[in-house]
Amino acid sequence: MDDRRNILLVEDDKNLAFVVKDNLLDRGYNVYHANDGEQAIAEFKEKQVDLILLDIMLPKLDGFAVAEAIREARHKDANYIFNS
Amino acid sequence: MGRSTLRIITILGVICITGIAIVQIYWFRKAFDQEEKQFSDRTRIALNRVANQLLDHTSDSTVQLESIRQLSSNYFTVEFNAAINPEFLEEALFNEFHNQEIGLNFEYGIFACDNDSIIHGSKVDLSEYTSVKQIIYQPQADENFYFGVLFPSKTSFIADQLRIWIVFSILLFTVILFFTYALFVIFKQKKLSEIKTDFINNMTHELKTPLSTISASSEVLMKSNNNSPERVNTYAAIINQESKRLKQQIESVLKISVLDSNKLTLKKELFDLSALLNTVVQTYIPIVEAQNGEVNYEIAEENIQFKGDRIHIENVLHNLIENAIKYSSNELSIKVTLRFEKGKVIVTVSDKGEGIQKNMQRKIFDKFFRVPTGDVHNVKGFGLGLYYVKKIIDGHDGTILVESKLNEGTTFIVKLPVNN
Repeated sequence: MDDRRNILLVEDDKNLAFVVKDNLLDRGYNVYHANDGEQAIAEFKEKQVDLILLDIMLPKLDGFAVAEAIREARHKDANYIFNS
Repeated sequence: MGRSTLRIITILGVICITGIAIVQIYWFRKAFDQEEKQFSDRTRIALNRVANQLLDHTSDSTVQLESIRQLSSNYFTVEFNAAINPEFLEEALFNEFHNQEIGLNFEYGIFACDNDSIIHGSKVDLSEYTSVKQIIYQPQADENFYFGVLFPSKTSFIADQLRIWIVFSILLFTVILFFTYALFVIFKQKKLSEIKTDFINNMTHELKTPLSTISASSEVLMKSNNNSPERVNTYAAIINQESKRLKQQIESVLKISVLDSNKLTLKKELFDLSALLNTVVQTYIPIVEAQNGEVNYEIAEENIQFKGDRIHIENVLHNLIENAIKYSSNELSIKVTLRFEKGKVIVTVSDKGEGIQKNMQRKIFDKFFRVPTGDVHNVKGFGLGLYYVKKIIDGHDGTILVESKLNEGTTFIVKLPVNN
C-alpha cells in the first residue's frame, strides 16, 4: 500500500503546475492535478485527498466556489491552501 | 470612498438640494403674491381717488360711486353712474398712478353700462405722456358709464420688482446643475476606479504566475545536486518560456501607457492590406487546426493599396483573430473576410464562441475593461487588446463595430477608408 500523502493541485497554468507537481513529487507526496474548478471537484470526489492547493482565479469555477462545493460534498475538515 | 458612503452622500445631497429648491420656490411665490397684492392695493387706492375726483367734478349730486372691481390680475373697472369726461379721467388717472408710484403704461376705456359698448378708448405711454384720443361719442348726461383700466405690461413690471429673486433663483438653478454634474462625475470616477482595481488585481495575478514559476524553477536548479541533464533542460526551458511571457505582458502594459501618454504617432506607408491579412490568417490556420477548429477566409479583393501604419494594423488583425480564438471555448470556428465597398476596406472577424452580452458590448473597447466573470478566469488577459485596436483604427479614421449574440458568437467589423 502506498502510504504517501495525497495532494490535489488545482492550477491552470501549465508550467507552474508542472514545477509545483515536480517539486512535491520530489518531496515524497503523491500529486493529483486538476486544470479547472470542475475537474478539481471531480478529482476530489474520486480520490482520497489530504491537502488541496487551490488557485483562486481558475477557468470554469473559481477557487472559492470549488472550496464551497467540496465542503458541501463531504469534507468539512478538508485542508486547503489558497494560492492567489 | 466606500459604496455606502457614496450612497449616503448622494442621498443627503439630493435631500439638501431639494429642500433648498422647495424653500426657494416657496419664498419666490410668496414674494410674487406680495408684489401682486401690493400692486392691486395701490391701484385700488388710485382708482378710488380718481373716482372721487370725478364725483367732485360732476354737477349731479345724486351720482354715487358704485364699486371698484378687479376682473383679472391686470384689469380693473370702476362703475360710475354718470357721464365721464375722457380728458379729465386720463389726467386724473395719470396723476394718481404717479402718486401711488405705479410707473406702468396703461390703457383705459369708457363703456356704456347697458350694452358694454366702448365710448372712448386710449393708450397712455408714460415715457412720453401723449395720448391718442379718439372721442367716438359725446356722452349724454342721463346715461350710465363705467371705465376700465388695463395694464398690459404688468407681468414684466412685477418681474422687474422681483429681479433680485430671479437672480437668486438662477444662481440656485446653476448650483443644482453643478451638483448633478458633480454627482455624475463622481459615479463615473468610481466606476473607473473599480475597473482599475480589477485591472491591477488581474495584472498582479497574471504577472505573478510566470514569476512564481521562474523562482520555483530556479530553486530546483540551485538546490538539487542530482539533477539529470534532462531535468535541467526542462527547467531551463520553462524559465526561458516564462521570462518571455513576463516580458510580453509587461510590454503590452507599457504599449498602452505609451498610447495614453503621448499622441499616437503612426508611420503611414502604402502597403497591400489584403496580402497582409492573408499572411496574418495563414499563421493561425495550423494553431486553430491543432485545436480541432477551422478557419474560413474570403478575401474578395486582391491588391488593396492602403496607406497606414503597417505594424499597428498587423497588430490589430492579430488581436482580433486571437480574441476570436480565445473566446471560442465551445466551438472553434473562425471566419475572416475582406471586401471593398464605397472607398472603404471592410474586414470582418467572426467566431462562434461565447458572445458578448448586449449591455457589455459598448464597454469592451474601454481601457482595462473585461467582461466581469469574478474569479473565474476562462480567458487570460488585461483588458487592453480591444482598447488598443480601437485607438489604432481611430488613428486611421476608421470605425470598428461589434455584433454579438450570447452563446452564438461575435463579429467585429472594421471599416478603413482607403486614401488614394
